[in-house]
Amino acid sequence: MTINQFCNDIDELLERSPNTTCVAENITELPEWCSLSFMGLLAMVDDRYGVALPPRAVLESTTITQLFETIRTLKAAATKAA
Amino acid sequence: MRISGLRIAAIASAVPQLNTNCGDAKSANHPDTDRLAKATGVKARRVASAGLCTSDLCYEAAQRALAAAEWQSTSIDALIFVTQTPDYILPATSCILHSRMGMRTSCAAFDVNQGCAGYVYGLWIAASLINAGAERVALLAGDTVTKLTSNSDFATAHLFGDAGSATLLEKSTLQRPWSFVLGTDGGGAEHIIVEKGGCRVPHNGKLDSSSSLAMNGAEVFSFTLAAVPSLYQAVLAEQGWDGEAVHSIVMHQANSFMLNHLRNKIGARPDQLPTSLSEFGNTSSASIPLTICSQLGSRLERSELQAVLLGFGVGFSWAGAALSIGPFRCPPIAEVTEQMRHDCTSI
Repeated sequence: MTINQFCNDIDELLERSPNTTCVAENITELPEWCSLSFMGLLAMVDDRYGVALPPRAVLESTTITQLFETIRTLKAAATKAA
Repeated sequence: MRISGLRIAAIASAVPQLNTNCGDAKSANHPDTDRLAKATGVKARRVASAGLCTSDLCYEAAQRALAAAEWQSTSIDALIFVTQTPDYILPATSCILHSRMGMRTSCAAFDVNQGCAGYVYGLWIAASLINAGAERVALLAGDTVTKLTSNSDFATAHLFGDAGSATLLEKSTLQRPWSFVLGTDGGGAEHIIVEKGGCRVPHNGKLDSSSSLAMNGAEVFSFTLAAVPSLYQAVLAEQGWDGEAVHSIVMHQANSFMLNHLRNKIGARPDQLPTSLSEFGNTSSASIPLTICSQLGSRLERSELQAVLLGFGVGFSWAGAALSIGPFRCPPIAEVTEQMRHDCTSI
């Protein structure tokens, strides 16, 4: 689970060319972002990272880095609880 | 909860005659039409005209179900009407349907304000009434959600269709017990809401965004991911089945993106999950019986099915049932026209 991999996942989700998404971007401000891609992000994070990402966490993250750190923290907590 | 001693005698569904294709002139001009149709799986929907109400759709479905089961409406002990789109604020629409259907005055009739989980809630209430002594119960479930959506919210408006259903249940010792699991998280109330028109925010004559259905898709999806897989496992455990024993898992037809993701999460095969989204869209409380009629009807005329029904959504509410159903009569889906409407104030 790396941030580069996560950026690639976002490229795929939003149908962007490979290596387009930068860690400093705010996902909710990307031109491809919409309500459908919001659901797609939650599904992708659930599938690939095994994390139930609260929608509020997405809205509160101002950068991809911050969003990635939230996912990593949630995953660590879930692993510990299991 | 396990309830025994009952069977379904018939299920029928009805939709408005007006068919709205997603490629029609109105939606074809919208830039997101193709993308939405692909993600939601909705290719066409039935839309009730201004004068046609949920009760009109459910009435027609009830007539078909009564004929299929060869029941007289006077033989029914209770009428349950599940909807979030009643004819009036009051009286209960079930009372209007009771009169229109010519039911006897000793028949109980009441409305249940539930949406996506409403059909399974209704089945549970009907089963409980039969368990408590009623011989025959009619469960009518339907919605005309298109009356609540606004064209300014294209993504939501595109998703919903209108439909009504009727399920007739009666006492029987022939079928195995049914299992139910139900739940609520009212913390999600604000995420699918029509704010205006009740007593907290009365209508002031102005139509604005709070007059129509507002849906927070991400929150609804998040809730669904958390609630539905565990609901499925809980209802299987209650019934003592494993997933392979289930012939059909009939989920509330939310949207195909959600259903496909849920199917993967619960480890079900595609052939276990019938859907009616492409033809009818999300029809709220009617989506489960409509899917049963349109996708499983001919099979249910011939044989018994082990089915799991899963309703989830507005509230947030969820309800699951594991039950053996069939064989029973499942007439073709009826089409209802504007001329078939009924207004109790004009009699």
